[in-house]
Amino acid sequence: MTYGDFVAVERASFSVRAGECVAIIGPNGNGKSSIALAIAGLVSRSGKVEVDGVLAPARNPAWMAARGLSLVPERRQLFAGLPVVDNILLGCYSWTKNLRKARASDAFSEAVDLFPELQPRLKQLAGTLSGGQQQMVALARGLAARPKILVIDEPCLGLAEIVARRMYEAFKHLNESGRTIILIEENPLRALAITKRALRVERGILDERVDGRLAEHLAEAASLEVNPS
Amino acid sequence: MSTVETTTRTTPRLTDALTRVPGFRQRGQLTRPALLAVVVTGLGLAVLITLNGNYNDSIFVLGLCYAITVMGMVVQIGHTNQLAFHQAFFMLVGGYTVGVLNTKYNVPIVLAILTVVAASAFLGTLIGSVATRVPGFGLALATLFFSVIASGYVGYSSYLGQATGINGIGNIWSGPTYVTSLERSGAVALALLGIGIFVCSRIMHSGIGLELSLVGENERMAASLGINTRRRKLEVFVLSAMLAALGGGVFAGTQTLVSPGNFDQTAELSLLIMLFLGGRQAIVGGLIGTGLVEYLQEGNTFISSHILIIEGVLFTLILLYAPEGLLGVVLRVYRNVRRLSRKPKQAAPVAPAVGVPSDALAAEVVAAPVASAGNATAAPVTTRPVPPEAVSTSLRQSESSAQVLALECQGVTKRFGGVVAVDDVSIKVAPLGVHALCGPNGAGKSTLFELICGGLEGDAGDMFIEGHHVNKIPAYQRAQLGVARTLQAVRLMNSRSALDNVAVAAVPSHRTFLTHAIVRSDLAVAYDRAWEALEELGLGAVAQQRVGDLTLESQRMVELARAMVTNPKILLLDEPASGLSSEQRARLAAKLVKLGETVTVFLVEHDLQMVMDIAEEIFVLLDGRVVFTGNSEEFRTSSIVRQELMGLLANDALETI
Amino acid sequence: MTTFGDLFLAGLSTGAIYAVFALCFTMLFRTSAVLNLAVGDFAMLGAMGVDFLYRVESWPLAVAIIFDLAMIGLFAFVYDLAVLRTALEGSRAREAILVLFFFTFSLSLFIEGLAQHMFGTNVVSAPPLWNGPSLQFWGLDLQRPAVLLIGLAILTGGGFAAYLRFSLNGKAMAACGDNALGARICGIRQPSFRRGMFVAMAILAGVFGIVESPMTGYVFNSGGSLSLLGLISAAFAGFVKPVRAVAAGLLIGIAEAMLGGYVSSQYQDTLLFTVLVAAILIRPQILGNLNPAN
Repeated sequence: MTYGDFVAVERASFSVRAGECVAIIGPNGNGKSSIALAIAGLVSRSGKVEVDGVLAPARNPAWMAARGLSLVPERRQLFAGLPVVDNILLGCYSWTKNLRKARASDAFSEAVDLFPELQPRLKQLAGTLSGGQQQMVALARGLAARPKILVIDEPCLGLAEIVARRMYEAFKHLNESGRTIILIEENPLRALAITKRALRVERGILDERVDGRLAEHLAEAASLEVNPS
Repeated sequence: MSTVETTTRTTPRLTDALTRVPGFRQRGQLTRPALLAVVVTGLGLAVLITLNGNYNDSIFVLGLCYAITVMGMVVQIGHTNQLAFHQAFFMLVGGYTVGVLNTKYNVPIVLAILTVVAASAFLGTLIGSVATRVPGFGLALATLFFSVIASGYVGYSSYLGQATGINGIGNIWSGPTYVTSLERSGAVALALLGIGIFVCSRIMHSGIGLELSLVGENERMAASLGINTRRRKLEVFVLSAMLAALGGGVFAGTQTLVSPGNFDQTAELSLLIMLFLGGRQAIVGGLIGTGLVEYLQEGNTFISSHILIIEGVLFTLILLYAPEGLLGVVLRVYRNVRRLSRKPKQAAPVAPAVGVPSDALAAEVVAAPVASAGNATAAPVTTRPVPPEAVSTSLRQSESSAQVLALECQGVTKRFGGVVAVDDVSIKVAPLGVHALCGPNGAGKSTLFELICGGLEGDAGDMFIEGHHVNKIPAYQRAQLGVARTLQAVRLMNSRSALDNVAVAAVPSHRTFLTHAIVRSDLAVAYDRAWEALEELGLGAVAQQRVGDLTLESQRMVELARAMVTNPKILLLDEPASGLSSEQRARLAAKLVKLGETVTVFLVEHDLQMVMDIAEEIFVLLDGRVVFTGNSEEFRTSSIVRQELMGLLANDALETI
Repeated sequence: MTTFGDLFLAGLSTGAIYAVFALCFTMLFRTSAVLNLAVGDFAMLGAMGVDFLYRVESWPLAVAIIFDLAMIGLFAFVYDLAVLRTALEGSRAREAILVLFFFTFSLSLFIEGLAQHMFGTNVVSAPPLWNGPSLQFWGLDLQRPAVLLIGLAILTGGGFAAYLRFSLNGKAMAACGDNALGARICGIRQPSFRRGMFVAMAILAGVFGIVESPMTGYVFNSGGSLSLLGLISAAFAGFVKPVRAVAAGLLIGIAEAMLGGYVSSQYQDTLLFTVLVAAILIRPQILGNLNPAN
């Protein structure tokens, strides 16, 4: 897919099984977020995307949402002027337009309960929250959409290590309760803490790496670099 | 590279234009405007003479008045993208002032017009200095009301004739009959139009004209290149005000009457349609548009009785389907035809290492995985340069302690709402050499760069560039002090050539007034320097290609050339290696080391291996605070670094797998 | 002799129109970067259209009103489909500021031209919807249409507020303007909201034109100054704060009436504009941070 004259993603092919947790890693500026946006149907792309064997139309986020794919975008993209609770409620918009129904639904309660830290802040405007809290709201919003597949793009940008770990706990919990997770993460070590499968993107090309020992390999290589003796 | 000649002249010297021998390129800048002016004036005279019937003459001369105003709008709205709608207002001021001076104080028309032009310069500057401080949309909104207010005021003023206005104004050049007066005055109007065309065309095709395009396209970028954007915006505002006033004065002196209905908001709208219909970025476009709209409004009874409907639909259609106007459509067709007829002859150029045309990217990239797979088992193959000798490094460092620091931050802090982006940062950057700033995303590196360049104002702390305390100095002046930068997302004018992009930074007239452009183009000088800069970086082959068509590596190099052409003292680079392959990074690293011999290079970079290879000093930023300062050896062995940057290190490690 | 109170009330009722227009401008701007500079002309169409159908063509009043408003709505709908959609979406998308001004400015011209041809150049008005002499209370004169106007304005304002707070669609509309990408992710279709708001704005304007016209009378180009005053009211609310927009509209209406009564009725609008423009120039911060959605 291209942005104007710039080819962002040259070629990316991969498949994900239900219930899996997969990471897409690689340095920044190489096309990882573009892949996320393309899958979610937010930018135009060429090629095929299939969900549960059904071919998806390009550039149709509503279709994707109806099929149970929910995106938690890079930099959260929350509605800063609306309160937290409204942000989460709007996550339900993809499957109902009725406010009462949304509020009463299981999806909404699960989303709100996901992060107890948010309970006292439900009426607060989303824009006034800290980065970590905003990320929680973004994840909750994604969850309110009743997803079967969650695509999470760079959730830990600018977050402190301890907050990042909290987020990863949440991802693990969501995966264990049956959702498929596609995680886009700049830090491969963090990602590999909760997933065994990593896909590497470099300069617009994604190639499959199915390697169980990838995490150890990386850690070794990293320390080798640092201690050349 | 040649040293920068500081041209500090602020008043144009006519003798320069006369005594300077123009080089080839210079001649182009002078003859084109002059030719255009002469041709248009000549054609106009021919039309004037051959038209018979005072009605036709009257329409034509009326058109001339509007044309004069539209010329100013071409420069202001078309070229510099400044959306201010004060032209009808100034036409009113011009017309009514001439009317009053002539009918009530018996001032001869020509003198009245001259007075009006001078007065409008003053009034324009007064209003403009307030108006141009208002950001884009507010400016448009406020100026939209100018003509409404003015015509409302004069429409009820009995001194100014209320709804009927002032009539009985004298002609610019009277003759025995009505028609001859009209024709003679029309001839003078034509001459004035010719002058207006020359001035505007000259400005647009000068170094300052390049500056204006950049100001219109991206004001912050323009400021970071040393362009005084506030002054330029004021200058085009005043220019268009003056030309509008001239147009209004000529209106009074040729139509011999002025009334509020001539200069109200529908007049402003007509002017805008004239500008957009023909093609707002070109003089010829403006002329075409004016002629067409004049014809529509007066030339045909069916059309003029339905004029509102027709103009409404026409304007909408143009904006939707041909925003570059009729001229733009014609040019586009012409270019497509030319391209189609030329295609078979041109083959893709065989490219040097740098400046590879975009077709080759795919091949390059597909080849890469194969190559790296072969090397997977061996130790990481580095094609990276050997770091500079330890001896020379320490020598430079001991020298630098006696010199002024290139950059110093003391306790610099910046908050956004509740978030502290940069927290009490104190760093010292020695002159020359390559220095690096590292840290995870969101650590505050880009914010710090913005603070250094003047794009943001710090909340606390002091900043020194080359020993100067720069806290209060705006971005464009810091650029003139010697700070140059590139951005992570390449910000070039995509529709223009690499040469144009680099030249805009090389124009020596950053410090001068707009009027300078009328006398001296400076474009040749800028182009010469731009060529040099591009060739030094190996981009000679692609200099004239459209930047949007170049590869990422080439675009980065063009940005670097643009930064270097100003002969900066400090070069700030934001993630220059991002998106580049290993060979490209190796080339980049070599270039940076070479640049470090003459300039202080300060870069933000995630490629830690490259940083350790070429940087003599590394700063690590985490959560807005400096957590590490030292050379690459210390960096390599530091435990803090290993802990905090493990993500980045792991990424580097990934490349070797 | 008109007293302060009379002026105040008169100003309040015209202010009610500006307030509603300002509210509409704000809502539309929040949803998509569009400023409907033709809003006054839609009001004019409402008034002159009903007059034409009722007085000239002798239709029953209710039918005339419904038909006229339906036509206005249809026209706005078609305009959005034909022009705004092309201008804002897809490959031909134009720069925001062009769309802000010039498109609807052209639309305004077009409507005025149409009206000129269909209705002639006379000053007319729709018949008053609530007949009778002006109401008297507290020694002040309040014309019946003015009461209707104020009442309608309150209803409209309340309606909008309720929509935004108590329906998911309302929140979705607010979200469109807040973060376009976020809205798309949630499956919110911004173009539909824009279209809906544009049509609603046109119809509302028509209604207000019908109600107000017995007080002042309309001619084919009356729309211009109405649009301008509504626009500037919205401007003072930074185009994003609905409550402030309403307040600004009311204040400007009152200021206009005061200027007319105490200073000069001829120069009232001119003076008003001068003050407002000066305010924008001297303190541009009043406009707030104008970042159109997208």
